[in-house]
Amino acid sequence: MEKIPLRLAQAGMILAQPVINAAGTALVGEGVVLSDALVERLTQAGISVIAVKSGPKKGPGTADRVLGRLEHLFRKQSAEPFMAALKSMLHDYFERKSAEGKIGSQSDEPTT
Amino acid sequence: MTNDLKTAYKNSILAAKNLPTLPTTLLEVNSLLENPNVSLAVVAEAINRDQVLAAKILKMINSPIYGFPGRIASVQHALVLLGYNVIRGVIISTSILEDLDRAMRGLWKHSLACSVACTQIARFLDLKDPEEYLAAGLLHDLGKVIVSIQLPAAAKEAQWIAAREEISYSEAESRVLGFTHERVNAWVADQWHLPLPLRESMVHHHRPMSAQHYPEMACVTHLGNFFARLYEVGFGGDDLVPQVSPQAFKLLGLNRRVLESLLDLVGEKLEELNME
Repeated sequence: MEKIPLRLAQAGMILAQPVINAAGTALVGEGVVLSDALVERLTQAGISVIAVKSGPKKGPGTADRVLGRLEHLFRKQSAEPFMAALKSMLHDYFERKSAEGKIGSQSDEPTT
Repeated sequence: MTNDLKTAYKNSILAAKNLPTLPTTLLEVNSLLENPNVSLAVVAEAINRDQVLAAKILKMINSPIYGFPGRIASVQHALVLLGYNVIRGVIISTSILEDLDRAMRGLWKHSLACSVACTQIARFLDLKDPEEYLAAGLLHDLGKVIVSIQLPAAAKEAQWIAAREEISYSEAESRVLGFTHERVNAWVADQWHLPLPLRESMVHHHRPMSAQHYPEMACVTHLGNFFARLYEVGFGGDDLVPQVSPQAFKLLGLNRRVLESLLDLVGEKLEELNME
């Protein structure tokens, strides 16, 4: 774990401790992967230092990451039929990509 | 919102005092191009006189993320290959690059992601002059930067409202200012005499079917912005995907198969960009 100034935070880093504001409220929990949006929010909330996990950052693959965020990103649009259909199409696509990625990484392993 | 107030905002937004200054080279080149018979060599020479700018242009268009074939070694070559409109967009965006991230952390990367997505979409769909879409993506959120420079308190308030109430940044802008960055894009595009296709895509990227003359470029920018938001590369002011226009899908001839091919292409490029 290392403590870094928030301005050096980068998307993909993983929080090693919850982020707590001056009033003592936990804003984000431990283990959360930083995104640019989240860093911007923390900046606005007046946070200056955060604790991130050290070592090479290795987040989930793109397909898993987008899949995990789909509901959140579409949360205001799901009532609209076209957007709901689009979301379901994207869900199928990223689910398939995620499965393909896992098969791909298995076959990369040495077989002997 | 009264019209008086809107006019007052417009005036302060366009007040030359703080409006990002475009390199004098751009103005010089603009005036050269008023002569239809001007040679590319003369235009390239004018750009080359500003060596820092020339270097920035070459660096940007040679970035592997755009995938232009071969190495573009000179400004003249770039002008031949990409055309003047693209270079103009690149000059503007490199000049406001620092302002972009100062306005909103991650906005530069979001703009770059949108630009990369637009270029890939235009190329895949075999649209005419796919390079021209690069600038449309880069500049689609220019209005957000301008507002944050000219009316910093209003921009901060919009960022706050968008985060607190979980609404889109555009909606937050409407509440605070009475108009969105698309309106500001129109004012600035006029002020800087940007070409019509670029202007329309900047002004209508959220409602692309309102683009009267070049709906295709507006639709591609609309979709490019959606992709940049979907993959969350950079930050455009909120973490919501924008409403996608079914008519834009139709106009570009998208169906599930085409959409998936585009996701394959754009996804790979945006993943590279996210690693940087």
